Amino acid sequence: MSMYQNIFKNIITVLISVIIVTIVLFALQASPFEIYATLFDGAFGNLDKLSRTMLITSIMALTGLALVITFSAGLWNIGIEGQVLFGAIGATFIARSFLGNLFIAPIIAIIFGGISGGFLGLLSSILKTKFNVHEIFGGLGLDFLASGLIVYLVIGPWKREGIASTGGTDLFPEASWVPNIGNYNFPIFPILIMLTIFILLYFLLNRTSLGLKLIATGLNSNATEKFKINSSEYIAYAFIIAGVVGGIAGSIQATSIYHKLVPNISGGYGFLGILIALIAGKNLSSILLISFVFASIMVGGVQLQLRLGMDSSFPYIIESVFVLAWLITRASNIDYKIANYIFLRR
Amino acid sequence: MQIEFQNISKTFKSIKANDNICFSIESGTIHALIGENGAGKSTLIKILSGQISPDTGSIKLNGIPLKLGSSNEANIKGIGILGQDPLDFSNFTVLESFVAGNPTSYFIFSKKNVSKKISTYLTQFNWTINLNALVKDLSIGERQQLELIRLLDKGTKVIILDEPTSGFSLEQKEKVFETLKILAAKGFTIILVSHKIEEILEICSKATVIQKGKVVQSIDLPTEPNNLISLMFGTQDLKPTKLSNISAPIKSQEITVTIPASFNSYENLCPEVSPLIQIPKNIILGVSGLQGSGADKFIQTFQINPNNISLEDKSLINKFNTTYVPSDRLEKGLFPDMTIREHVALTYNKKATVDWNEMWDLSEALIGKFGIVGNPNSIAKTLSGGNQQRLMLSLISDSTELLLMEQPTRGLDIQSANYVWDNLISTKVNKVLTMFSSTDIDEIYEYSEYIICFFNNTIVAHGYPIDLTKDITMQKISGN
Repeated sequence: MSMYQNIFKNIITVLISVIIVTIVLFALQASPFEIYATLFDGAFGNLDKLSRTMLITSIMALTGLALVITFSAGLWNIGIEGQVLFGAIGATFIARSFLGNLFIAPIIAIIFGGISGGFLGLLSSILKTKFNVHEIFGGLGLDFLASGLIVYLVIGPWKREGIASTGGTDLFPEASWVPNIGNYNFPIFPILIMLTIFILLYFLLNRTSLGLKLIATGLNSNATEKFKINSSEYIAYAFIIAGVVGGIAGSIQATSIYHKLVPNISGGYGFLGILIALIAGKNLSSILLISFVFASIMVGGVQLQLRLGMDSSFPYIIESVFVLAWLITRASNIDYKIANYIFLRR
Repeated sequence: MQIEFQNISKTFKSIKANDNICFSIESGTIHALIGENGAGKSTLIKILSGQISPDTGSIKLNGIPLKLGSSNEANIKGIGILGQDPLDFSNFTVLESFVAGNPTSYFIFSKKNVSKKISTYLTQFNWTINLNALVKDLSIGERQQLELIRLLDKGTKVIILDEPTSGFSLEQKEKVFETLKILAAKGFTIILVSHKIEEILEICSKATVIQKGKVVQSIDLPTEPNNLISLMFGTQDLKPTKLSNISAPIKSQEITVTIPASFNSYENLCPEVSPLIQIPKNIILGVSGLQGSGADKFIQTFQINPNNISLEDKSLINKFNTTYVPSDRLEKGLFPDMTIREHVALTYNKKATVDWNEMWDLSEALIGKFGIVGNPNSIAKTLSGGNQQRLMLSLISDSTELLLMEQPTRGLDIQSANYVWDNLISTKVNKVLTMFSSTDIDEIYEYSEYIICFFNNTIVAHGYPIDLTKDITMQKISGN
């Protein structure tokens, strides 16, 4: 299936899912079109809202993309949450150091954040391959370690002058903030980073020997020996790459949104990334699409409560119905059949 | 119960697994069913126990026809199998496993009653097994004993033992055999499927030899062991081998194969077997042994430790010029969900990036050269066994110096098997050594220039076919 066909298939899946959500909304005696209009306005109504939606999209997409790599290698990288946190810690370290005042500080912070996340990923792989700790347990342990470390840093060595609160560290020097273009706070750089990483990972999985061997390790680890693939090595690569991408997501949170380190800086996007990756099923372009839909519902959903007086859980209901509809559509292969049918007719 | 097989035939694809089988088994006897691997024993057993139905033929129990093709029916008539692997629950205690494995499982059961029932059997057979021990802590022998009790408790009257003694200690074997004799004397009919001649001679009163799906003969026991062996492996048509290796071996001994110590633990039994094998280059080395004899394990050790093979000129055999081709094609040999092109890229692409167009061309070339039915985008698991094997052959890179083939023709039809051998023979000159294992003694003698015999995880003999004749090999691999 070509890349275009793939994108086309994704669009069909979204359409079918939206139809199903609409039917459910009718059944709930809500007015779907009013809800969609409110959601749309809430998510894209003005530049501010659009910026917020796109920023959340890019962070969700990054964690989702990271997980496609580990899922391709047959690994459950539960440690992604910790890798995001480590990324934020790494970025904070740079921002607080003498480098934080440099012109290129955001770049260094994001790179170092990626390295920090990659380091935690490497630990997961070492635990798995050297000490035989399943990656789910190892990852969960490292998640706790990372969140413990953040709390320690925030109320300990990196606390604000005179106060020790979990409210976060001092704001970073402004040189370390990811800049905006002009007066708009549109997240152009996070989006560019997301797209760059998407292209790099697409290339990695589809055009490189490393990507092929990584997928092979995930498909049948019994056969790797025959093909002279050192599976431990490729497990390590998968974890490091996922860790770097997760770490970059964390450093964007720190340098672009909070401008400081706070204990819950990951915003749960690591765990959400697992859900997104599971829905997308190892498909990189689906990750972007689903992240975008999730972010839109999340940002626009606020307006449902404010304007239509709906319960605050309503956006989650829409989100979960969407997820179910997506999964059912994918499992039934209807989207594939329609995409194929239309492509063949052309 | 007297069992009568009448004209049983069963064909799988084009292979006649059972060909007009007729013989009978008397009530109250222990009857041996012997033959090489693939002779058709298992098929016959599966037909008797209702797991598969034959194409033609019938089975009569005490003169009454048995409804074939229904395992339920076989169960009701009291036919039970004691397989090679005990069917139990390893994390349960003996008692729990027994209850769980009972088809008429009790909704509420009394531990006391069940344990009393098992104990009755245990005292009757003079066995001792702790009922509260965990199943996983028992030996294989003990687990098989429990399995036998479970069968008897179910009301089994015909007990089929399908090579049950692999993994038994000598003492346990004696105990079980003693019990079998008692059961036979009580009127149970026991069928022992085995290729261990000594066992058969020890307890069976009659043996039916099956070869290539046909009954060769049913003979009364005891008899000379050699007599059984020659029946089992067929008439000795010593056709000239393809490699004319009957001529005297070349004396330039360039390769030394060191036998890993773990395969040489029988010191006392085989003092004459040397732990070093010295052979010329570019030959095909056959490792002969029945299923589970250790021949495959022997092949595998060289994948992990290729430096057990050393050359006179000190050139190196290492992991990079060793290629291992496992017999489990989809388990260990290929990636079932990957395409031919992806396999080709995994093997031949030495660059960091993959040029899929180049790989497409290379795949097409290999598909043509090796006659694989498929295209570069065919997924491995959708190929037939023969084509999977051809794909594996196509993935042996030219730099291979040591080729390890585990049962290279297992499950292949004759045409594919011939293709595999033509390929191996034509490429052997480019390699230092081609080593293969096989359970088929004819295949060993047709293609090997040097032969190693395995029995019970030990090398029991090795030599050139001119010294180590087919007769000797047959004796050796059956443990005589």
